[in-house]
Amino acid sequence: MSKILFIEDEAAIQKTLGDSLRAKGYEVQSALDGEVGLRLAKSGKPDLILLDLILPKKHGLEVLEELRKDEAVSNIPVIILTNLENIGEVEKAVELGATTYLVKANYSLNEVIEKVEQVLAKKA
Amino acid sequence: MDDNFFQCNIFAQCKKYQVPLRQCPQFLFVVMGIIIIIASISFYVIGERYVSDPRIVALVVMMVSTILLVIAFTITRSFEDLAEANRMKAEFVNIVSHQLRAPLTNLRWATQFLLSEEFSAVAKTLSTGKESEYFDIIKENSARMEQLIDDLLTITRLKEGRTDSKKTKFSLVGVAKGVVDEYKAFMAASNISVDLKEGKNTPLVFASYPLIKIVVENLLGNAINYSKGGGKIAIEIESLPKKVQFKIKDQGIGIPVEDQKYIFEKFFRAKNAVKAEVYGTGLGLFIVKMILDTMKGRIWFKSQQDKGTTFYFTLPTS
Repeated sequence: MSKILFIEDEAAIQKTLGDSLRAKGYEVQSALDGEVGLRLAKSGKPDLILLDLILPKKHGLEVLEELRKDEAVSNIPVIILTNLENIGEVEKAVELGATTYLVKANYSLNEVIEKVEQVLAKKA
Repeated sequence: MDDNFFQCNIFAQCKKYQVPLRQCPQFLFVVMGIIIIIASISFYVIGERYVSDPRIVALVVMMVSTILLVIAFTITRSFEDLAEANRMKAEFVNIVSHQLRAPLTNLRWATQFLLSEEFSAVAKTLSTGKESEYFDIIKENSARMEQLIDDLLTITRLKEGRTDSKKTKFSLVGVAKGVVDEYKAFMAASNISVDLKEGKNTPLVFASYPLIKIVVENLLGNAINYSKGGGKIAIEIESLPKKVQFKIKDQGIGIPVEDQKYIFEKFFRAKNAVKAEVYGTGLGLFIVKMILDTMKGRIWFKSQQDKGTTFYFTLPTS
């Protein structure tokens, strides 16, 4: 089953979405800040990364930029999962190579899981 | 018809922008127009009847032009100020919506997961999938939203002067003792001890009791929250000429030097506070400063990163 790295500092979101994905059979690894997230991405080479933007220690966009610069992990699809809806942030994320950009408040738990499934299916 | 009347009513429009008349673009524009009309007629009459030397007329025209230039500059500045206020309002709405969305998403997703078919499977197979943990998420996030809404309402009421700001004479020591008592359980859970010292013959302060209680609650709450892993908090209240000084010292994470100048700004959170994963709305110290300004008090602080912070405030005795 696919391996997902979930970089998110909100413990509640980590738990809810993390447990939901585990219930679907995915292997989910959690990181609560940008630095740990980047390290786990490079060492664990997940199939998909769910990335929040406002993170302690390293901003999500910096994490994305560093991921795209590293050839070993540059092809991993990254779903931005945030509550920031500024057009500037969306554009920057797309420019840096985000696979898709989801505003948490606009999606139900099931819709996010469906997006994860779609991105993973495309990759396969 | 009403709209047309509103467009012509300069005073109503200036009131809508919430700026004084001297900074209201519409008003200044009308003043400039009146000056131009009066000046043109006056130049004509004066030049025609009384002044034979055209240099004097030129000098007067230059002087009036300078006045018009100053007014035009003020109008431009007023437009810039209004645009800035508009930008800040948009930014404020953006931040508030983000701050409200986070706990709302947590609530929504936790509820959706509790109601989902997968939940019972998870509860059986995962050690983490207990109902109570999701109810805790719901409880915590409801409290977060409540805190944010309370803070925003306090700010709005303070701005509009609708708070319980009736001044009376009361003991600051009494307020501090009461708040420390309320926070006893929180401090015990956070492994924190507090030492409250009172100077001799400390006079009563003249301020609003409920608002000053909010100030003390915020400062003590911050001292506890940012003392990661426990420590000591020292509170000292002493008398100064015509005022009383409150001092609260913690051994917490401190405020980085580069963040210190922003600490009383709305929604500002120091970098190390975010890194330390201490939850806050970023409105507490903004409210504290706002209250003390209203009460003719003063607030300042000294802080060293990783060593701690000392906040001071004073209140008048009469």
